[in-house]
Amino acid sequence: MANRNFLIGMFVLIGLTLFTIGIFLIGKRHGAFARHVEFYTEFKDLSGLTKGTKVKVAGMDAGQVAEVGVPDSPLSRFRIKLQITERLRGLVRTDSVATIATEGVVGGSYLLVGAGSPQAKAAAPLSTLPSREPVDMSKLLEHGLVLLKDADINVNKVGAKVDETLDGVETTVGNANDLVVGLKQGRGPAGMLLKDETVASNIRQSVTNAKEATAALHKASGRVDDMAADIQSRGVTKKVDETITSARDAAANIKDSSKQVHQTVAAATKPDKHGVDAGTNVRETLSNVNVASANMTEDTEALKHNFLFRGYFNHRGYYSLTNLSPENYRKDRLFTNPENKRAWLSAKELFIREGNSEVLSSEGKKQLDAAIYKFGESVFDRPIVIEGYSNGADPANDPADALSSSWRRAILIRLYLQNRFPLYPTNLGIVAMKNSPPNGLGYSEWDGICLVFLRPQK
Amino acid sequence: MTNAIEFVGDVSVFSLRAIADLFRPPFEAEQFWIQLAEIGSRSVPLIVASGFALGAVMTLHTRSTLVTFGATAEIPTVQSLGFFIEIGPLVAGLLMAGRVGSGIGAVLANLRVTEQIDAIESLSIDSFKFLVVPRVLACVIALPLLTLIMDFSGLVAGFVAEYAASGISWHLYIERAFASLDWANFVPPTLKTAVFGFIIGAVSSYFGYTTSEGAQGVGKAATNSVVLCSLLIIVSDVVLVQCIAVAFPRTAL
Repeated sequence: MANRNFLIGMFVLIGLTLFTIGIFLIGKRHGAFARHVEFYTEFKDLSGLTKGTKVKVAGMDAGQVAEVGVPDSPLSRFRIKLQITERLRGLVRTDSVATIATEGVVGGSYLLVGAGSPQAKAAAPLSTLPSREPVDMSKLLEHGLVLLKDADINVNKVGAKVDETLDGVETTVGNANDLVVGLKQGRGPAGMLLKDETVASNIRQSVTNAKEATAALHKASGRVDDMAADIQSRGVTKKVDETITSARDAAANIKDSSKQVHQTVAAATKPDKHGVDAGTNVRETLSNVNVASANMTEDTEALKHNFLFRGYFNHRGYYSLTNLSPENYRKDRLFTNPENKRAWLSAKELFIREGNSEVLSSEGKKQLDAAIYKFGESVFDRPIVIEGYSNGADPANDPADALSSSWRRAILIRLYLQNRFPLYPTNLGIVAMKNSPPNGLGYSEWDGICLVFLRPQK
Repeated sequence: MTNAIEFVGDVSVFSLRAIADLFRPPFEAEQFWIQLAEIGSRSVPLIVASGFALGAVMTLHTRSTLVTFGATAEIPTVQSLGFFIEIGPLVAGLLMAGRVGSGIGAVLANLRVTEQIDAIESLSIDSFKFLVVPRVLACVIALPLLTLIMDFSGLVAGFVAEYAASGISWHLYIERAFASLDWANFVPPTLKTAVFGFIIGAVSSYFGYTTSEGAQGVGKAATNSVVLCSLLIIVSDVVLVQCIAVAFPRTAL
C-alpha cells in the first residue's frame, strides 16, 4: 500500500514538475513573467508578421507582437502593437526604427527594433515608433533576374569583342615574331644595330656615362638636401620671416612718418589768416631776401669804398678772388706785400707749344708740385693767387696779346692745381699781369707765372 | 458493415457510460489509485528508456541533415519542437496502448471469463464503475504526465548526443530548445494525450469487459485492444492536430 502510494506520488510529482519546467521555460521565452512596455509601429506590408511574433531590440529577444491592427483602406497601414520587456526599454528611443527581418534565408519573420541614438529621448509607452518597410524577396529575385539578363547580354558583347581582340593579338604576335626573326638575322637598320659590335660598345659606354651622371646627380641632390637641412637647422627661414616682419614694420613706420610729414607740409602750406597760401608767402619772402641781399651788397660795397671803413676792410683783407682786376691787384698791399711767399716759375720750364697753343709740360708739373709742397700744409687753408705773365708776340705793338696769353697761362695752372690738389676753388685766384710784376718785388718783367701764397692778416 | 457500425455504436455507448459514471457516485478512489500506480508509475521506466533512445536517434539523424545546410544551431530547436509537438505525445500514446491497452483488455476479459465480474455484481457492486471507470480515468490522467516524461527524456538524450558531437553547453542547448517554443507547441499537444488515454482506457476496457468467449477471448481482447487503440490514437491525432491548428493558427506547423 505504502509502496504503491510512493510510486503514485513520484509519478505525479515528476509529471507536474516537468510540466512546470516546460511552462517556466516557455514563459521565460515569451517574457510572461517580466514587465513589458507597449509601443506601436506601422507597416504597409506585414511580410508574414502575426500576433505573437518575436520582437528583438538591437538583436536581443525583447518580447512579442501583441496585436496586429488591419487597415481599413489601402492608404492606411497595418498598426502593430508590440510588447518589449522593461529591461530593454532604455534602448528604445524616439529615433529607433522598426523593421521586419527574417531569421536566415528560410527562417521565420520577426520584428527588429533598432537601438536609438543617445541624443534622442526615450520613447514614451504606447508611442508609435518609426518603421522601415521590409525588402520583398520576390521583388528582390525579380530584380536579380533582370540583372542576370543584363549581365548575360553584356557578357555576350564582351565575348565578341574579346574574340576580335584575340584575333588582333594573334596577328600582332605573328608580326612581332617576324620582326624578331629579322632582327636576329640582322635584317634592317635595327638588326644591323644589334649585330654591330661597335654600336653595342657605344651603347654600353652611353649607359655607363648615364650611370655616372646619375650618380653625380644623386650626390648633388644629397648636397642640396644637406644645404636645405643646414638652412633649416640655422633657422634662416625664421630669420627671413623676422626680417620681412621688420621690413613690414619699417614700411609701416615710414608710412606713418610720411603721413605726418604730409600733414606738416599741408599745415605749413595752408593759407594764412589773410588767405594767402604758403607758396605765395615763400616767393614773396625769397624776393624780399634777394632785394635785401642786393641792398646789402651795395651797402657793403659802399662801405668798402667809404673812407671811414676802407681801411678796416683793407686791414681785414676782405676781397674776392673771382674778379681780381690787374689794376686793383697792383695797388692792393694784400697782394703786393713782399712778405707773401712767392714762387716764380718761368714759361720755358712750364709750357711747351702744341700747335698754336701752350700746354703744361711734365717738367712744369713737377715744378708746380715742388712749389706747392714748399708752401707747406697750410696751403690748403690759405688763398693762393696765380699771377700770369707773358711777353706776347710783340708786347709793344700788341699789349692785348700779352694780356690774353698771361690770362691763358694762369687758367692752365689753376686747372692743373685744382685737379692735382684738394684746393677750394674760392681760394684760388687768377690775375693776368701781362709781363710786368708789381713793384718792389725785384722783377721788372717776367715771362711765366708766379704763385703767391697770401700771408695771414693781423 | 452493419456489424462495424454496431461495433462503433457499442464502443461509443460504452465510452459515454464511462464518462457519465465518472461523475456519478460512489467514486472508486481506491481503485483509481491502484490503476494510476499500475498504468502510470510502472510505465515510467518504459517511457524514459524509449524517450531517451528516441531523442538520441532523432538528434543523430537531424544533425547529419542540418550540418549539410550549416544549421547545426537549429538542432535543439528541431529536437524540442519535434518531441513536444508530435513525437512525445504520439509515441507515448502508442507505447501505452501496447502496454496498458493489452493489460486492461486481458485482465477484464479474464475477469469476465472467470465470472468474477458476475460475482462483483452479485455483491451489489457496480462492476462498470468498479472496474472500468478507474482504469479510464487513470489512463486519462497518466498519459499527459507520461508524455511530459517522454518529452524531457528525449530532450535530455538530444543534449547528450549533441554534447558528444559539438560540446554544446546545457544552458545554451535549453535556451535554443525553448527559443522557438510557444504555448501552443507545449500545452495542447501534451493535453491531447488525455484523449489518447481515454481511447486506451475505454477501448481496451470495452474489449475486455464485453468479451463472451473463453480463454481465446482473453487473448483476442488483448490483441484487439492494442490494434484498435493504436489505430484510433493515430487517427485521432490527425483530428486533434487539426483542432489545435484551428485553435492556435499561428503555431500550426
